[in-house]
Amino acid sequence: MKTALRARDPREDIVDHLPQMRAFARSLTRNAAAADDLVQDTVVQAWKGFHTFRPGTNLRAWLFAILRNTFYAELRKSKRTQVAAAAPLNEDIVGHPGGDTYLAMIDFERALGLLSTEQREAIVLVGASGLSYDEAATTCGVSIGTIKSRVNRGRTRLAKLMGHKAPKTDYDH
Amino acid sequence: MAQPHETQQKETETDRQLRRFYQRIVDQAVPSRFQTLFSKLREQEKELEHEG
Repeated sequence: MKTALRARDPREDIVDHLPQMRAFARSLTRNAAAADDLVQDTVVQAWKGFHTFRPGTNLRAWLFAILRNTFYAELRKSKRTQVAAAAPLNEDIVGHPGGDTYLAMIDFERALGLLSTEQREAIVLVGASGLSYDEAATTCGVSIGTIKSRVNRGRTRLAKLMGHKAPKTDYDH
Repeated sequence: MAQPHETQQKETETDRQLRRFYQRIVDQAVPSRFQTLFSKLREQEKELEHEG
C-alpha cells in the first residue's frame, strides 16, 4: 500500500517518447544501430538531468533537444559525417523487398538522406513529429524564421528528388 | 501519427510520404535494451541513496 501512495516518478514519462525519439534519431543518423545508441545516450542524460526540465513544457521537445545536441556533439567529436552518409539506408524498412510500398520507402529514405542535416531535421520535426515551428526552433536553437526557411527548402528539394509536384504554398504557421 | 498543424496548407504527396516513413519507424517495437537501461538507472540511483 505504501508503494501505491508513493508519488510517481515523472521521469517514467520518458518511456512514452522512446518510439518518437528513435524515429528522430534515425532521421539524423540514417542508421538503425547508431540511432539506438543515440537514444540510449539521450535517455541517460535526460534521466540524470531531469531536474532541468520545466514541468508544463513539452517533454518531447526537451528530449529531442538533448538528442539533437548529443548527435551534433558526437558528430563533431568523431567527425563521422562520411560514415553517416555511407551508412545503409534501408536496413529496417519493414515490408516485402520488391513490393511497391517497400521500394517507395527506400526511395524516400534515400531522397531524405540527400538533404542537409539541418533541412532534414527541420522537416522531420515540423512535418512528421508534430512539433510546432516554435518548439522546433527551440529544439534546434535557432529562430522560427530559420526553421521555416529550412522546412520550405527541404520540402521543395525533397519533392524535386521524388519527382513530385513542388509545393506551391509553404507551411504557413 | 502526427497531423499537419491547423494552419498548414496544401499537404503534398511528399508530406504524406514523410509522415508514412516516420510513422513506420515509430511503429517498430522498441528494443528491450531500453527497458534494461531504465532498470539499471533505477538501480544505480537506489545504490547511491543507500550510500548517501
